Parts: sequence; structure tokens; C-alpha cells
Amino acid sequence: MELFNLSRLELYSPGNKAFLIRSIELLRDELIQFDENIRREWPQRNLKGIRQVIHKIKPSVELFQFPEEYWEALDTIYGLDENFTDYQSFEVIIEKINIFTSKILDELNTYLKLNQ
Amino acid sequence: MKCLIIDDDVLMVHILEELLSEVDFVELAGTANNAKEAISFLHNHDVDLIFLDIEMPEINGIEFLQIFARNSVPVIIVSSHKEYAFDAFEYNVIDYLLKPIDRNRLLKALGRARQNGNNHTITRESSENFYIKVNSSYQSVFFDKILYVESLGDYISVVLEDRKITVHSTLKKIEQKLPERDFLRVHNSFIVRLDKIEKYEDNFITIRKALIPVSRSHKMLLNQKLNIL
Repeated sequence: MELFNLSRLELYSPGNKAFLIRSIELLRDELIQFDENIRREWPQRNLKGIRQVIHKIKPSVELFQFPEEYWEALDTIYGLDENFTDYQSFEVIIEKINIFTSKILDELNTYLKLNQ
Repeated sequence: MKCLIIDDDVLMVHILEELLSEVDFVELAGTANNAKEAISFLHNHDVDLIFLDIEMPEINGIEFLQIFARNSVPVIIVSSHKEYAFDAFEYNVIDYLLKPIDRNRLLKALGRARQNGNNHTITRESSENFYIKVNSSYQSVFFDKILYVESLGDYISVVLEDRKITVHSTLKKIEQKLPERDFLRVHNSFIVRLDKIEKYEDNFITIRKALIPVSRSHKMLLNQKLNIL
């Protein structure tokens, strides 16, 4: 299963392979940072920080058409109420986000290896 | 048209750079990953257009607009948040694009900026103000804060957004200090800042509840200067 789709990105600069590769490299860096941030902020119960982190990644999730499930999981966490305290009940969603992120990263790395 | 991109999202900057590189009337003057970097850049470079993200660390886009409000550089907001649009349009924002950027929307926004830019030569912060001697001190007055200037015989009142300064001078003298593109004498006793005009009806202009007369001799030039649909 392909976890990302380049069709929208390709529209920005059709046929420009260098642009495509550089964009994917930047996406990979962004996702690595996102993964680190989520893993740091969630145990600290920093909902504001988590929201900011998710907010930053959202345009890329949309642009690279990551799976709907991933989008929904991010949306659920992003939409948690300010006064939310029941972190444990959402551990499963955070776990889902972490797994998806790792899988997407794997795919991006594979793509880069094959195309560089 | 020289542009500056201010965004901490390097991927989005990369995409915007690529899109702008295809537009013949646009030249990328620089990029900044945060507002502080941008402010420092703008102290040393003239730009005609700014692409500005909202969600940035330390100083966010709205705060940047507040700090930079006195500068008349047009801004295109590029954000994944829709909800800041209302706040943003309080400033010199000419368009609001959502991330990820849509190429056609970007081109439309650039067209708008180009049209806007035809009437402007954007200058550095330092030339955006002048000084008025009030008693023994010199007060800085930013051009974009002036609503209008009224002649009161041997005195003039410079009506600003937040205060009024009355000094011994003439309209002719102050007219020479004001940028021609932004100000117009509409009556023997009044100079107005064009973009502050809220209503123009018959022979009167309304600016913040003040009713300013337009004389017949100045009416034609006013009609030409206003961007009337």
C-alpha cells in the first residue's frame, strides 16, 4: 500500500524531478521532526504544543495525500478540548499516529533510495 | 516585483520558491524562517511584496503585521488557518492563501499584488515617516497613520488615527512632505490620505465620521486617483 501520493506535488512543477526529490527530502525531515515532537509533547501532556505540531504537518498531510486514517487520527488529537485530562484513553490514537509516521518515513526513504 | 517569503515551514517555502520562479514579473529577494529574521532583512532590503505565514514561533504573523503595520509593503498571507483572515485584513493584506498552495490562487493573488504595486514604490521603514516640531520636541509621524490634514488659518491640524497634532504651518508646506501617491488635496483647507476614505458622496468625503468637503476644482483629480469600479 502506498502511503503517499505525489500527484498534487507534481502539478507544481510538471516533469521537474529535482524539485520532486528535494520536496520529498524536506517532507522526510519535516516528518522526522514531527515524530520527535509528538513523542516528546504527548508524555508531557502538553496539548497546546501537540496542537502546534499537528498544525504544522497538516498542509503536507493534505498535499501528499496521506491515508484518511492518519488524517482522522491527527484531527482527533488536534480537536481535543483545552481542559482535556484523560490522556490514557487517547494513547491508542497517538500510537496509531506514531506507527503511520514511521511507515510513511520508511516509504519516503525507499522512494529516495530508488530515485536518487 | 521583489518578494520576501516569511515562513518556518521549509517545505512550503521550497514550493512557493518554485512557483514564483515561473512568474516573469516576480523576483525572489529572500526568505526568512521567522519574523525576527524578516525584520532584519527588511531593514536592509526593499521589497514589493511579502508572503507571510501566521503560525510561527516567538513572533507570529499577526504580531509581525502589528509591528510592521507602518510599512506599506503589501502582504499575502499563506496559512493553513482560515480563522486569522479577519484579523489579517486589518493590515496591509491583499490576499489570503491556504496551504497547501493552489497554483491558480497564487497567480490570482500575484495579479492583485502587481496591480497594487503599479501605484506604489515601496520604500524602507526609514522613509515612511517625517517629523513635526511640537514646542521644543520633534514628533515622529508615520504617513500611514495620517487620516487627513486640515488648515486652520496660520495653523494646521494633522489628524492621525490615535491623536491630533496642531502646529504653526501651512498646507502647502506639509503637502511637500507627504507622498504624492497616497495623499491628495481635495479642498483649499484639506489634504486627505486616499486609502483612509470610507465614503465619497456628492461633494463630501467621510473619514472616521469626519465630513470633509471636496471642492469642484479638486474633484476630477480625486475621481482619477480613487480606484472606482
